[in-house]
Amino acid sequence: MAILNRLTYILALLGLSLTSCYSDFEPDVLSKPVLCMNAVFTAGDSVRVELTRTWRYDEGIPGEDFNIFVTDAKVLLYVNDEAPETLVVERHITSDPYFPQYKDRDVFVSKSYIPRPGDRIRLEAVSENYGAASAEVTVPRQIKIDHVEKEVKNIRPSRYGSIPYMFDIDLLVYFTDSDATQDYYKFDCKSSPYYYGDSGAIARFYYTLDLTAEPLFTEHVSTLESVIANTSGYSIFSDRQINGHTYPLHISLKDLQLDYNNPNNNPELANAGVDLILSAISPDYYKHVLSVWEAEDGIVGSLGGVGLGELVSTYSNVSSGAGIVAASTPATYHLALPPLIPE
Amino acid sequence: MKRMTSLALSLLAAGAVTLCARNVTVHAHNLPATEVFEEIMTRSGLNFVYPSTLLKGLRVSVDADNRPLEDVLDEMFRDTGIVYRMRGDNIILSRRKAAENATVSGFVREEGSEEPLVGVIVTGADGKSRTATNSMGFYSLTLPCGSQSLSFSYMGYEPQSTRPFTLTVNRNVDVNLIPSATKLSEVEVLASPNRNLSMSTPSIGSLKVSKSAIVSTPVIFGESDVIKTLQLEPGVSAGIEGTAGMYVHGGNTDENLYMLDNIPLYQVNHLGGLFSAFNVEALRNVDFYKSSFPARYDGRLSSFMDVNTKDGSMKERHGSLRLGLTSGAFNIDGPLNNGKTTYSVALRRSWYDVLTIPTFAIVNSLRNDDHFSVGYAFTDLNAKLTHRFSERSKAYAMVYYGEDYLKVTNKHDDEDKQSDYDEEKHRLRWGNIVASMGWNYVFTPNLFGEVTGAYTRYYSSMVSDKDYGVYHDSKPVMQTRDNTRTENNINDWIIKTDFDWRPYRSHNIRFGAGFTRHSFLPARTRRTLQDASTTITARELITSYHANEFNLYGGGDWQPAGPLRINYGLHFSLFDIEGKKHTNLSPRLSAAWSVNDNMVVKAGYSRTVQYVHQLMQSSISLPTDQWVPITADHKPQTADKISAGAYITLGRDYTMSVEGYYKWMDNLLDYQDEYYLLPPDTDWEAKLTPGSGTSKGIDFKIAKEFGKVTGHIAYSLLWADRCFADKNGGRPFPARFDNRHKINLMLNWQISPRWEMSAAWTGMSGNRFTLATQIWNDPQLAPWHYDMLMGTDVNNFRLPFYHRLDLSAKRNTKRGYWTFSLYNAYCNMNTIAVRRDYNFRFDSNRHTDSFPVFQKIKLIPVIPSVSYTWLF
Repeated sequence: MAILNRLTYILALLGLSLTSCYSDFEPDVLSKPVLCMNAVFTAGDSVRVELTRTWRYDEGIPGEDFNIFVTDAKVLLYVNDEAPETLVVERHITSDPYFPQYKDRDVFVSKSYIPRPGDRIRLEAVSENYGAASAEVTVPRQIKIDHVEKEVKNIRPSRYGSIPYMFDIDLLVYFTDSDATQDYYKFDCKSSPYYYGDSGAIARFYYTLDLTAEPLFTEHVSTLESVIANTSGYSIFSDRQINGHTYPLHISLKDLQLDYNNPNNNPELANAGVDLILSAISPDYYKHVLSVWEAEDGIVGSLGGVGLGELVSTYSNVSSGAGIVAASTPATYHLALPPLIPE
Repeated sequence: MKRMTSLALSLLAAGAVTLCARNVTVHAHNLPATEVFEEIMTRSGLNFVYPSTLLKGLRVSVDADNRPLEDVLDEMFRDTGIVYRMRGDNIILSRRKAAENATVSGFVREEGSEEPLVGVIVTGADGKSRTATNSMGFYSLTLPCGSQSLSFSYMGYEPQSTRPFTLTVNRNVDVNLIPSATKLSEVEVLASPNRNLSMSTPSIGSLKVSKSAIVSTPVIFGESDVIKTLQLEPGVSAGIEGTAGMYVHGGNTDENLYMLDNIPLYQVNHLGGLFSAFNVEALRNVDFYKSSFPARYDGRLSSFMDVNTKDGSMKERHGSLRLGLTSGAFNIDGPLNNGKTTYSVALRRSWYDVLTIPTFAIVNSLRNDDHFSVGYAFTDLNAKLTHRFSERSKAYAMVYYGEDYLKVTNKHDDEDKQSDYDEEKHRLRWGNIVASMGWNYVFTPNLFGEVTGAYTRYYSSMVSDKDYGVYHDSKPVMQTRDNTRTENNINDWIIKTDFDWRPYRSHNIRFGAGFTRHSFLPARTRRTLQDASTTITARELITSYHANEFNLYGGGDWQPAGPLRINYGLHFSLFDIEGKKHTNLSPRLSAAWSVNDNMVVKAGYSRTVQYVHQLMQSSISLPTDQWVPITADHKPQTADKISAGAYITLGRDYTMSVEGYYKWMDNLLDYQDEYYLLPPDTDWEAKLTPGSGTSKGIDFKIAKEFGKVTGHIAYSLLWADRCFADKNGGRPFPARFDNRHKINLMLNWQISPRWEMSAAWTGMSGNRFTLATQIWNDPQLAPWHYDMLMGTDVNNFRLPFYHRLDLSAKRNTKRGYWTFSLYNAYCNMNTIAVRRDYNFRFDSNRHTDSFPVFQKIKLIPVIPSVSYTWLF
């Protein structure tokens, strides 16, 4: 459907021009790399700061053609205006075969600090080759999930022989916004690990997270954009329309298939399910994600991309113009799926 | 005795002179005045008192049946140099003081249709006294008393001269000009509206565009377009390839005041700007001003374009039907009420939906679970009714309606009716409505006036419905419904008067006043979220403004000395909004000095003020474009412009002009950096930033207006920049359409009465483009992976040189004409933007790999088109 929408847009703008073509070239625009600083301070989680340099788009593929990570910089962490801590470099191993630039990398970490809601954090970094960068963020207060209403629907035969049937679950995830502050949120859903117990005990499930029914996830979309833009996957929103109210997010787990056998052999299996995560996020976090959406799917960015509008650059709150220093405080509600299995 | 017999017979035949109250009946033909007056005195008891020598040798003619005495006396004494006064029963005759000058006035119309001709050059016997007809075809020329004659010349019409006459008092001369079938091949008319503007007025950067010039300009899809004709003029940038954009002397597109019969039109584009809203079938001619502005015009910073629509033929019904590749047009006009009333109706509609609706119907019939359709159309309707009460009095009513309509439906359904479904419907409408009524009157040969009342409306409406649901027992059950409705519009009620007064031979004054009641609705947004149990109006925003605008202007053309002509003016405006009264005075001054018969130098200054402006998210016209007013928080936009030029006639056929200008613009408004991160329903003022700009340049043009081959070569040199507090970090940046060099060649060849060919070549420095080259590492906070673009200076890159040749041919047939055109004839696809993409590369082992590259986006190859216009 989104593809169709996209198609409409392309047809409307360019179809009348019958055809277009592209040719490679090297634009005569001078630009030099600067220091980029990325960090997300999550309440209760350890601190990790990535320092990289920017690169010219046609320079090549980072991680493959050149290294972008900067390790010779000095990074200072200030928390609530107290004496700074100098972050140290540590090897972080997260191999990703699809994006070589995200191979094992050196990041800056704090050995002592764990972020807490309300902390005001400032990062300052200086690199001899790429200059300085600094940014500030406050860790937001936690907004808890009040309760979750569940409804199992559309029980139907499964497409897999080993699983007898599939079904959908509609969820209403209630939370209460604070009317004292301007809040930003991100909703996410994370599966708990598969359970493999002894004696054939297993709890394994497949589903599609459907966010399309929740209008708040598209509050940043204007009417014209709702015609032409793709909004799938985005689940950030603000309290602009629900300030101080209790509101249920409309979430669906579609085509849920649960491979659930011999539970009695492992009591933990009864707790298998998904974590519904409502994170309070910093304003810059929200703006950054919004700018990514606007650049790729919004009307300004889409038109700018074909020369009909202004360029939408990615939002950065770092002084160098590259990177994002954000914060989030998650609240988790665990939804155990086995109790919802229809009889 | 013979004379007495003749008089007696005349009087007897007419029932003698009878006087009823102040009405008289008298018939006399070339009789001595004394005899006629004596007979009137005898029968009426009125006394004519006059010196004995006054009527000596004077003969008069009059035919009157029960007409007012004053009318009869006027007729009898016309051209005699005798005036009268009435005192009781005495009518005192005396000789008029020897007048130095008298005024000849009248209307110039087209023979056959009786359409007023605008810009006809009217020249006195000395060859130096000249004027041009106004938008109603009216002229007024004050000449020395004595032997005079008038000649009327207009491009595309046979020239006409009156027989010599003795000018002693003001007189009326109406003329009908006959269209020249051979387009000046056999007759020489070395005067044209534009040559007159260049050589005989202080006007700088003004242009009159005829309908024939518009039709003969080659354009994309063969859709003749006034704005695309103006794009070929120096100092006018076209904007985006193929569109009807107009950026005059480094200004923005909303800084042009487009008028339809002198009434503002806000939305002038269809289909994202590919076509303008002016249906060429409905228009008569166009006035365009880009440097020195008459005092009557204000309200925009860069240019003024007044499109005059047809009145309709007074003699017989005419019409045309045009079938083109993208649209069709129907036009009909003719007389009503014995020719005193005329009508003109023109309708144009696009074809796209005729093609897309059945296409999508076929595609959807082949699919079970996804249904998708798009329908788009634009429509223009112009209608005008004109009534002539007398030669001096005329009234009209005019309506324009233009709309774009886009409907998109998208439905995803579960083929087995077991799972879920979703359905989206989007309906967008945007356009204009203009309705106006006017009355114009020739008060005296020296004074022409017009009063106009009008309503003009721009509107945009976007409605979106999204339903998500599931099937229960194969029946659809709504799960959530999301309804969004966004509207924005502007409504103006206008009343104004304009006068054209020529008190002296060397002085022509125009003055007037107007009042406009503006109602702005920049945004009315309502979003309703509904699920099975609750309905939430999640977003409701109404922002509206009302404003009163008052305008008063006066100005004139003055020729204080033979070679010197001055145009002066002052436009006062008051804009009252939210309790804040913005007042401005816009002075205008330009002067022309005729160095000799073939060369004129000019200089001028003008100030313009703009109270409303358009918020555009892109360079193409979209329904999201909003017209918003200056509010209490912002100052009116102003522009001060100085300009100078030299105009030279080269031989009989050529005119050369060089115009330079420098323009300062203050209180400009633009979107601030990252405004798109604000919620869509944010108050628009919060997204804007004030700033300033400058532009400077030179326009050069050589035109050949006469002969079988006509055309022009134009070159313009331009620098335009902007500086806003919250855009580009507060640093100045070049304007988007800062096309440094621009060359236009336009050629029109009348091969034979049947064939006419045109060619237009455009070459210019490319548009400015904001090109982000630096990428930063993705922190992966968004659901998908993209390149993180680092911000850069606005418009930091100039696109490659742009050039294009358009050709067209017109073949006249017995019943109409064919138009063939080739847009971009040599298929040079011009770069409109730069994108980032990946291309393949080979490594040392000949393995392919993708590699990031910048690519030019090139648009619009050669496009042939054909249309046929049937005339009836």
